[in-house]
Amino acid sequence: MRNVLALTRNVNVYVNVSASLEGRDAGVPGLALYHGNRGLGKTKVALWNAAKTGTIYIRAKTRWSDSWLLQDIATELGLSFGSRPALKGLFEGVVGYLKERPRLVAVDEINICSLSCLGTLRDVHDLSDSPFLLIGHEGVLQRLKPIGPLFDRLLYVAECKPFDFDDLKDFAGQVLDVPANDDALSKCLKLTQGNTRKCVVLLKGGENRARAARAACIGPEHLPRE
Amino acid sequence: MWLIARKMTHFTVGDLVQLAEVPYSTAYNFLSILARAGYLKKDIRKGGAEGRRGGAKWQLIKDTGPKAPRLDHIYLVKDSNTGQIITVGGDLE
Repeated sequence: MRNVLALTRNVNVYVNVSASLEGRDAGVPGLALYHGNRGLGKTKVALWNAAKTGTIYIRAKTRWSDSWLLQDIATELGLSFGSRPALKGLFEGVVGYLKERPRLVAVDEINICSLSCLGTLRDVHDLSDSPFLLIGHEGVLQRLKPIGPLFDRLLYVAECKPFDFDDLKDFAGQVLDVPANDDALSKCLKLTQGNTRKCVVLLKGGENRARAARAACIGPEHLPRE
Repeated sequence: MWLIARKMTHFTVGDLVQLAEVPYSTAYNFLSILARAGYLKKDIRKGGAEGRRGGAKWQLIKDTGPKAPRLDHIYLVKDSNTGQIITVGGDLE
């Protein structure tokens, strides 16, 4: 199995959303939500995109406070406000920097963010006009919907979806050294429900078994029983 | 690579190859040099032996900020006539 990030539909959606946020017209809100179940590769695509484009990537924490959140953003921007900065100074420093040099900030695990931190993110966005891409897993949409002032500002709500057959075929074509036939892919899809992480594990095992059996391609017999 | 190392709790050489899109040798050199410099440690409890897929898990233990530490080449010029050793290049110049 090749060690590459396959350019699947989910990856393209993320790339398009982040590019559209950065290139949006003046006066248009710059918040977006990218959500989907666990194991679909949201964090991986966010990190890959951050490494590629220089996007700021931060991960929400359960115990995040407003000042901790602002400090995390400040650190990633290369700003220093001393060991115990005042919240006001921190907020103004981050907003001021992003206003001068807007940069996309991707915030992962947004579903564990407190209401107060979500409000702070919205404030930083509103006052700096810098784009924010919020990433969360299942249930995040229901959590954000009642927060009108934030939800109304979401320019895009994009879903990271489980693989369908065409996605899996495309993915397998990009990562497998030994090709998989359609029967194997159908079985893989049935066993994993399209979960990317599970597909990787299953196809990797299948590829090893197909190699050991000197088979030309991975067949359903090389995958575990249903 | 530094960003990936900072943001993933535990990671493999394979993660760097995949997400930073660098060759295996570049990723492995980066990790082993930073480990010797005290930035990273190899977690022997997680993952297997190092292989082409980068099985062993690594962990960042010194996160100094978003700017990646530079791996500079330093050349030592040793003059056998005089016994003098001159350091050239890197941050020490």
